[in-house]
This record gives sequence, structure tokens and C-alpha cells, in this order.
Amino acid sequence: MVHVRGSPYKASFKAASAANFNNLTGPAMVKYISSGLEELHSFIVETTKGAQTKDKNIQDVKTLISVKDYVESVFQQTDDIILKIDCLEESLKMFQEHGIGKDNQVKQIKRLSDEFANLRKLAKDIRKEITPLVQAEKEKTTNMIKKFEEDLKVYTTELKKRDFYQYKTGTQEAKARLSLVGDELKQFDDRIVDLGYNATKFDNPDMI
Amino acid sequence: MLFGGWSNGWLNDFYSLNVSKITGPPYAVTDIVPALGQLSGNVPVTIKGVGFKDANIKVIFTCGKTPVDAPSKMSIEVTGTFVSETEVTCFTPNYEAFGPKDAIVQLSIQGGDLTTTWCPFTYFMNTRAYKSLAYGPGLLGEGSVGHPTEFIIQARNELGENRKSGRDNFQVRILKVGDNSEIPNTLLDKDNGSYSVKYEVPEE
Repeated sequence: MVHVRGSPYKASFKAASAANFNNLTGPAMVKYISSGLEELHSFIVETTKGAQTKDKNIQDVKTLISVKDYVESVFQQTDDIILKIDCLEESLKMFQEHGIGKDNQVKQIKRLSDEFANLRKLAKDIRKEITPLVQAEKEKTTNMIKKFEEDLKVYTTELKKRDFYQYKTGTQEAKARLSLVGDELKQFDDRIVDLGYNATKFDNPDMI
Repeated sequence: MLFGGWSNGWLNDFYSLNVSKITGPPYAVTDIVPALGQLSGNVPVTIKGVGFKDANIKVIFTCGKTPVDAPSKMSIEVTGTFVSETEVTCFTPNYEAFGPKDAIVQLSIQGGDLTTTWCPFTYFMNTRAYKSLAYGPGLLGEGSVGHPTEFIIQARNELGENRKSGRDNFQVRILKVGDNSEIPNTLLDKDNGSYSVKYEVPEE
């Protein structure tokens, strides 16, 4: 058995809702169409802007990650977006058959469909463009993690040579020195978070 | 057959003319139900006509719009099952070799001639669930309790085109979240590629 696209669906019901909410051309469908068109428009505008590399410094790793995220979101959401466009198109067609369709909405969904096709093309092109940079950053992150591991080992070894390990340092002094260690560990934690974020974004989450 | 002579003298010649291609065999087809089916075939169809016999029945599906005198390379043959003198059933052959096109249906019984009458049959691309979709208030939030609601299933083929005829089999199950109890529904085949599903939620 093969499921229909989008299945399983979820519907909810309220005693307070008016009976005409259940009508094929009732207020629930009117709202569904207008909010659906709006959501699609926002997604396309925002993602097109985010996925562009023009006027951006994609050598900067944070910018590169941001562009990559937008590009990947297009690929990840393509099926859902196409389904949404198809459902809206069919809903609008049904409204037109009932003589209550709005021409501007019909034009809008056609335009959005074209715009999404352009966005998919853009995402494909940008993915190709940033692939060498992503690969370079991935290798860089891998090296940085290795370096971090080594730093951590050295730090741990050197930690044992510190004053607070010595009896002669005294309790008060040892405590003061230990508070400095806390700051140093915080820096390591921050680096772990940063490297972990980059490793995840460059498809190597287990590395860290 | 023709023979004759003149003035008490026979000409000793004898002529025959095979008119079976014109008059046809003693059986004929008049209708096929349904007159359309999916490309993958295996659709049970009933062929109506006259003079059918409980013998070796071959049903011929020929690609195109013109009947043939004999099966050609554009024809696919399937075995027919005798039901009555006016009814034969068979399963449509797979037509993927020809694509979604029109076909002409004729039959022959016990190796006899093909019928001179024929029925058109249209092959369409199979419905694909993963290309089909559903929409309507019955799939949205904030529906009204205690009133019937509805949603539409729009069947589509491999190319994502809306189907234009019915007879697809959709299984619809509506379950209440929590106890997973089933809410009854009715599915109406609109015979235009869309199916209306109605159900009612009795309580919030």
C-alpha cells in the first residue's frame, strides 16, 4: 500500500467552530488559501535572499554556513513545497468551479510556482558554487578539531605541573589559582561549542 | 458461390467469393465496459455483443483507431471467458509497450475471423498515490464538531497530471488521536479523477 502524498494528515475539531467551517468553500478553506499563499511567498523571498552569494563574503565561515543552510533547506523542503503548491492550486481550481475563485490568487499561485522553480535552480547553482569552499571548511574544521584535541592533552598534562598541585602553595592560593583554571576550561568549552557547530554544519557531527 | 451455363450447356466453371471479411463471423461485439483502463492492464472488462459461444475466445487489443482483419504486431491477445451468448469477460493486457493510447477491441472464437465490429478502449497512465494529493476542510484544523466535513483526493498519474476518470481504489482510515478509534467515512468516486471523502466527528 502506497500512501497518498502528505499522508497521514492531521485535522482538529472544536465545538465552538461554526458549521460552515466544514464546507469545501467555507471560511476554513478561505483562510487556508490566503495563509498558504502568504507562507509560500515569505519562504521563497527569504530563502532566495539567504541563498544568494552576491554581495556576501562567503570566505567567512559563518556566512558560508548561513548560505549553505538556506540552500539545503530548498532541497530538504522541495517535496513539501511542491505539495503545498499543488494543494493550493487544486483548492483554487475548486473555488473557481464554484464561481467564487479569485483571479489574483490564481495568478499569485502560478507566479509562486514559477518563483519556486527559479529558487530550485538557484539553489542548485549556489550549491555547486560553494561546494569547494564547504569542502575546504570541512577539512579545516577537521584539522582544528585534531589541533584542539592535542591542545587539550597538552593542557591536561601541564595542569598537573601547576602550583595548586604543590602542597607548599597553601589552600588560599591554590583556590585562587583554580578559579583561573575555571576560566581556561570555559575557553575550551567555548571552542568545543564552536567546533561542534561547524562540524555539524559541515556534515561531520561525530568528529567532535 | 457461382456457377452457370448457356443453352443446356454448362460452362464447367465455378467461382467462389469469400465475403466473411465483409459480412463478418456469426458473432459481433457491441460494447466494452469499462471502456478505459490503466496502462499496466489487468483491468477486468466485460465485452458485450451477440453470438458468443463457449469455445476458445481470443480478445484482441490493437493499438490505434482502425480495426484489423487479423492480429498484427500492434495487437495484443488475451483469453476471453464466456459468460453468455451476449457477454464475454477478460482482463486487459499490459499496454506499456504502446503507451497511453487508444485501442480497438475485437475478438475471435475458435480460430474464426475477427469480428468486423469493434469497440474503442482507452489506456491511461496508472494513478500513482505518491503523485496524488488531498485537500479540503476535513484535513484542516478548527473543524466543527457534530457536522459532516469533507476532503477531496485528487488522483494523479506518473507525470503529475490529474486523472480524468475514476475506478481507483483508495483506502481511507480516519483515526481519533488518543484511543485510535476509527471514525466512519464514505468515499465517493466522482469519475473525473477526484474522490470525495466525508466524515463527521461527534465530539471534541
